[in-house]
Amino acid sequence: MDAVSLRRILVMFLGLIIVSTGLTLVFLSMRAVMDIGGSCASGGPYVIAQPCPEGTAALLPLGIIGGLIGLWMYAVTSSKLPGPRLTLLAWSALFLSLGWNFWEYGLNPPDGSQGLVWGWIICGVVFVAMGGLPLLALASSGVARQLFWADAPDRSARPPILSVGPAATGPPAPQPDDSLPEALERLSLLHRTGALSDEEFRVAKQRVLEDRS
Amino acid sequence: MSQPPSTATWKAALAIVQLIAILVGIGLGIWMFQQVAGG
Repeated sequence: MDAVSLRRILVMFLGLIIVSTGLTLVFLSMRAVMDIGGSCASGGPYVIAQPCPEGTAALLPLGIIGGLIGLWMYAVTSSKLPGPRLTLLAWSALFLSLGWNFWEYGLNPPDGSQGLVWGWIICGVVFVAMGGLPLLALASSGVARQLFWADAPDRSARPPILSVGPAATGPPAPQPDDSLPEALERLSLLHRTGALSDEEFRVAKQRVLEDRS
Repeated sequence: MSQPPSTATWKAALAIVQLIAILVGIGLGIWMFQQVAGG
């Protein structure tokens, strides 16, 4: 294992920890707010009828922002490693866990009253649909494999990177499968945009013409 | 000389690493919530 892979694994590991910490904080904070009726307020100059449970005003935004940062760390690194790539499942994890809360509290209101809280049940239906419907794509073995058992990205399959500009050591070699007009057009574009100097353009054009003559 | 791990071994190892990360994250989230919100 090289140093780059080791660094990626470390960042991926930390990112995933932050994501699942964030999701857990959002899940628990939402439950704490629902325990007191589903709405609260914190701070500001007004008289607050229902103050937020201790800590939730800080934990909720912390969970959301931290979770997004962790998800970015995870997405960037896991896409370059083999194995599970669960980035897209974060959407379902968020909406299904919050949908669970809506269903649980909608069916068993926290104030002990009998009956259903339809407002929360409707939210539960919407959230479970938003989180659950994308999971139907897992029925496709290709999608499931890509999410849970992906191959490492094939470096040779990447499009060639155009290496021209100040760091280039010489005029770019034309792609062998370009037609003559395409190759000349490409060189002309590079020349016009300043990526190729007059001299480099002249040499490259000469090479293209010689290669195809 | 040791052989480099196969692709399947790599994938399985990284899957376990990710599972551990998820469990650690959930545990950390519960712990943080208990510390800050008191339960």
